[in-house]
Amino acid sequence: MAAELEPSIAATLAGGAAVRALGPYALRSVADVKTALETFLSAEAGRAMTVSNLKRMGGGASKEQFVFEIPNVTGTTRCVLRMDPLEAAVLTNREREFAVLRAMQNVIPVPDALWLDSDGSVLGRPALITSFVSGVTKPSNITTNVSGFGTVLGLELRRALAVPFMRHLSAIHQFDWRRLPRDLFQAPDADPEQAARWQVNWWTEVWRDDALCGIPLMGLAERWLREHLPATRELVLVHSDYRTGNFLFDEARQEITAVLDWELAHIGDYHQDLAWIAIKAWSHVENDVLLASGLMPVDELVNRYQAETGRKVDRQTFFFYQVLSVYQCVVICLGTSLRAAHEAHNHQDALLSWLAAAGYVFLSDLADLLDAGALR
Amino acid sequence: MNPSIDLRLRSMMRAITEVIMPAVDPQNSLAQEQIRLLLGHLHALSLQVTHAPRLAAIELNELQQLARELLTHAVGGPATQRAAARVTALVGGSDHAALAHAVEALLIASGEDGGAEFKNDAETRVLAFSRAEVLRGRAWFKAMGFDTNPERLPDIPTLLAAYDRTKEIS
Repeated sequence: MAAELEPSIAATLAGGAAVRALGPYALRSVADVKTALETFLSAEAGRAMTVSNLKRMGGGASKEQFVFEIPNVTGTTRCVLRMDPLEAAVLTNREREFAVLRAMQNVIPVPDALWLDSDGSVLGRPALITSFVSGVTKPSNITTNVSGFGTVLGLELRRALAVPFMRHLSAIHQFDWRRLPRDLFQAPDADPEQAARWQVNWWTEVWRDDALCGIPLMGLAERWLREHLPATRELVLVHSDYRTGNFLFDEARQEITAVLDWELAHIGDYHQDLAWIAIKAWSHVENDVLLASGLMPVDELVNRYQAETGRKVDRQTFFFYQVLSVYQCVVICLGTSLRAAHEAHNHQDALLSWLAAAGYVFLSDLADLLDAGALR
Repeated sequence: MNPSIDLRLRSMMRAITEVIMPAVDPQNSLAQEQIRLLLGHLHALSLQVTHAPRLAAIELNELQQLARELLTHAVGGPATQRAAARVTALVGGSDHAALAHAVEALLIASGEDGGAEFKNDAETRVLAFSRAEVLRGRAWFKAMGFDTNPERLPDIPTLLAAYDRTKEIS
């Protein structure tokens, strides 16, 4: 029997299964992308559009990303094209990402969602186009590993960024999720545990589909998660990848210029974002204190969130989402990333097989959590 | 056999560093990132390559031992019994991935209808097994720079020697 999932997520996973037999994925040439972009934009604008200064972007952890310019009344507008390869580190839906970006305009700083080719009928693969936002994901004077791992922010910078970081998180969670398109976002409101159950079913199903090799600890973790589903008191829009490395900031002004990476956003429990922020891999320890996302101690994160939103943070629920978050990270690293590289379904196999190694760090955290949770 | 794998890996790293890297367009950020990843992979491989068969043997041996221990205590309903039968069928073979999937499935099935004693026993055993498995994984991939406490991890020869000493004692 198929697991009970948010219907849109189930459809996305089914779409992913359909491409499993295809491949290998060939890197798109810049010339090919330029032609496709001009065809797409001309059709959207109803007049001939010319793309200039088209360049590949690094980062993006396995999506194809390009920056380019198009003419406007006064000069040019810089845009970003974000396009799916056959498979990536996570399997998500560009239409959902586009819709949530649109919903967040004027709520918090995000790139403008400009155009969408949801099925890739013109651009070749599902893709979205946003405005380009200036800023950096880490201080320009430090070197880090891929995807924001190991980012250390100085005291002054983290004090400055912590304020908008919490303010934007609060605004995301205050947003009325009923305004999201219902055909794209379904609410887990059938019973109090449904929000947690949908998440557990999502990530365990992905693990079963993608894992090249089993891991006993993952079986134990799934059992624990299913036996400890928390009741959700209040549904919110969950960003689901809210952390240092996924926002841009202006180094001089020390202000967040855009919150990025909305592809995992869903309606769920606010504890999920809080637990994700505190994952060790993108936090760091200073004077024996873990700074969640390199910004603030976990207790301060919880206190600030409660003060900012008026919501209560339940420690048991927070703990459940810590276990789920780390489980999800293992799925991404040792499941989906490795599977995409194994099938040659991505243009960055070398990056994905590199990222996979981080899975053992997450497994170590998972063992710590399950050890601590054994008595709960 | 000459040229050795180690020599060939070092030759590739030198060619990438001294010839290919300077020739890559500095404006091509994807190519720059990929070339650094290739160098990183080759460096990690050079540290791992001579130890890979030994590690694979240890991993299989440890997993088989865990599987046998779990089977000894695997009491439960139909789901648990079906999953245990699958583990039994695989435990004597050499397919590490399939056995690991089967052990994982047994643990999940125990959540459905496993006996309370089996579940408690399995939790203790799997956590102990996982501590050792994860330490090996972190040490094996230490060179890839994800670990927050790399200084606390052994290098690969030290890890394997420590494993051998443990087995001698036991």
